[in-house]
Amino acid sequence: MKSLVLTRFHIMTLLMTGLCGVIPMHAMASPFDVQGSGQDESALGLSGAASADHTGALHLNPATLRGEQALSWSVGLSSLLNYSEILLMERPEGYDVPDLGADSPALATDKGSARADTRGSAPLHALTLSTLGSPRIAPNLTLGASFFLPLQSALVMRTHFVDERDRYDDNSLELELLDSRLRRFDAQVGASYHTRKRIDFGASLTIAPTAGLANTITLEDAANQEDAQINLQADTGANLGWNLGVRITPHPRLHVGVAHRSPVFIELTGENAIFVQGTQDAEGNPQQLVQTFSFVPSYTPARTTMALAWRWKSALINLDGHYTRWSDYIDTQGATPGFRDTFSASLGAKVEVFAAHHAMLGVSYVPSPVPEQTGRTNYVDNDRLMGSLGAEHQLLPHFALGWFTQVHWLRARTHHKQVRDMYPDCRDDPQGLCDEVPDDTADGRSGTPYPEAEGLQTGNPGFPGFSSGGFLIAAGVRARFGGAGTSE
Amino acid sequence: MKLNIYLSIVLIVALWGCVEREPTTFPAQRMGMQADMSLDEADQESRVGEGSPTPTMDGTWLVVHESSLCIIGVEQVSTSDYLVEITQEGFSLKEKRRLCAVDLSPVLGLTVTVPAAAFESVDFVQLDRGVLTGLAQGAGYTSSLEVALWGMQLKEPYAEVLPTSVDDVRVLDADEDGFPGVTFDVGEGTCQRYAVQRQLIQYQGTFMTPHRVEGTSVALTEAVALDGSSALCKSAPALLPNDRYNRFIMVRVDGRGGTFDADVNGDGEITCGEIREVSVMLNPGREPERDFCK
Repeated sequence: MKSLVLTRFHIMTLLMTGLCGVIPMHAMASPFDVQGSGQDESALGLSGAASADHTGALHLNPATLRGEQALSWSVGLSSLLNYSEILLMERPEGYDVPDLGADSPALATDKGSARADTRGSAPLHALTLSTLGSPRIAPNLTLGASFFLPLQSALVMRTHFVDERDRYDDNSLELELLDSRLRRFDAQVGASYHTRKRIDFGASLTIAPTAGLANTITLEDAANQEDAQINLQADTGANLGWNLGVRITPHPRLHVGVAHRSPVFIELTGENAIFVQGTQDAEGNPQQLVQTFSFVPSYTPARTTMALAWRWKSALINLDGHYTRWSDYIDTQGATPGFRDTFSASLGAKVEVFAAHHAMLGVSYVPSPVPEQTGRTNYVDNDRLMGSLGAEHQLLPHFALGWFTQVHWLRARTHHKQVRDMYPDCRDDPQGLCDEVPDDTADGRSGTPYPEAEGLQTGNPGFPGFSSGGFLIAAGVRARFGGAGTSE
Repeated sequence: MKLNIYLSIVLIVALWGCVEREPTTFPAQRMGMQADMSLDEADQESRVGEGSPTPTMDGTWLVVHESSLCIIGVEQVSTSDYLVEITQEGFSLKEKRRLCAVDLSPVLGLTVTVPAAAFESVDFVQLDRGVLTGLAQGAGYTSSLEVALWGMQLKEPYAEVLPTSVDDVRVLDADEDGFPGVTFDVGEGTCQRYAVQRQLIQYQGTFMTPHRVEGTSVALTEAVALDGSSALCKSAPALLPNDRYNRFIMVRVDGRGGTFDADVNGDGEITCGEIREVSVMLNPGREPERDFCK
């Protein structure tokens, strides 16, 4: 029987570990950063970096991971409903991009997608799986794995422009850090080691997929560009992220946790080599147009966490603080926008209200790393206040049910573009609000400047300003099997 | 009391996320208005191609030439403005041309721009004469053969094979920019193409009035890319003539016979700058047609 337990544990662990290697993982803490893994921390305001003895520790502080020799595993469902709003200010008169025909340096305002507010987005439903256990041959070692599997799409890799080029796409703004970034598979595996000297160590790993593309495209008939001969070469790899933690227990009731995780991001780089039949040089050599690209559809920054946990009888109080290095953030188009590093905090409490029935509540505050958007870019993000509530009911010795609900308030925020005397040419890629039709734009033949080009012309959807706010609601249930109380 | 406090807290938190559309602080911008054309200027332009008959075509004429080319299956519309000094001897015409502007429509999204230094450096070779059958409405006109050499010097301007190497001694840095041939800008700064080009054009038309001729042209353009600042510009796709869509308009612009006088500053010389607006008025240009090269 003992060997059976061990074998089952190994099978599960290997299966989980194997999955991590096969399925592209976003790991990062983002959906875990926002709504948690569905374990206790989701009901505790995402706190628990000094006390989490469940698989939520993998992203909070792997040193606190604590399992029984008998394997436990849990399965859950969660939903995240987005009721955010991004409202665009009315455009003042006289700033539209005119249609100058072949001389137009930019898409005319009345062409392409219409500028639009953004109200919410599709709900995100996900399956959460996790497993936890301690091998008999190493009782001080705990292994765990946690997975977040969106039900609508396993992985959304979507980029977007945050300036006037957004008109090439949907011409509306989106939450930079809370929407498509969360719609992805997420997985973490890790281990902790418990010493007898009231100090525990832990480490977890996350793997983010990378892909390198080298495409050759031949247009046999330039007038029929729908018909292209395309060869694709894709090389996939992985960016590895890690999370290291330690927990000290100076007093039986007091735990102190410290953890640090590295940045990790999904990356897509490559080039398209395009050859148009008939563009050979004077000596007959084919000439190729090479387009290079580099996208980062999802980036999760480095984070350092310090936490305290106080246990008293059946009660637990958590206080976590995070320092997040958003200044290294890379947006989906590969730009570094210069966000601010942030300090955030979480507070959670858990109490046994009846025998084997625990109630939990929590609150967290996450300030936005995004500075005022007075210039060219329209990064949308808000300070976020989250309140959570939940419970766990140990219904049978080997079976427990848990649930959580969260409300995330996005603090209303308004950005105004800065009025300036002069606006630089957008083609020079400036930081400030820029002119898509420079004043010297002239009729190509006559050289006569267009009067419509005077002053500022911009189709930037965030011009002259925008407001954002609203709230998110997350809720989930989980069932836990095995673990404590499991007979061997 | 406690209930009120709780309700207040709940209300404040709930309102925390409420968002409203705020008014902008940006002032309305009044678009730059084109200076109103004076009555004199409007009157002048209305007289383009109109006026009393003159005994000869002698004088300065503006030619606006719209030609169609097929480049890798895509139409490119080229619109060129010329100032032509005409001297009539009998029914023959000596024509001295000056190229004032060239506008090329984009191909595959790339616009080729011809800098002023390039077209100002074009060498027009005079080989023959034009012919007219009269000056009255309905009379015929055939121009002399326009032989334009861009960035090179040829002993046999008609038939000589064009140079293909920057080391060819016939290649000149005609626009004096330090690069061989003439420099074309491709894709608004995407790259520069250093090329040589030969154009052979003959115009044939009909007098609509004594001071306005309209008709078609036969145009052949050969170009060789000698080098480029990037791979894209090192090739010059074949330029296939598409003459059935060529047309030209030719009007007198020296004021003779009470016609339009482009010499705005009255210095006795008509410059390219002085005929820009008239040329655009005569032919604002057209967009390429998808079917014209099929």
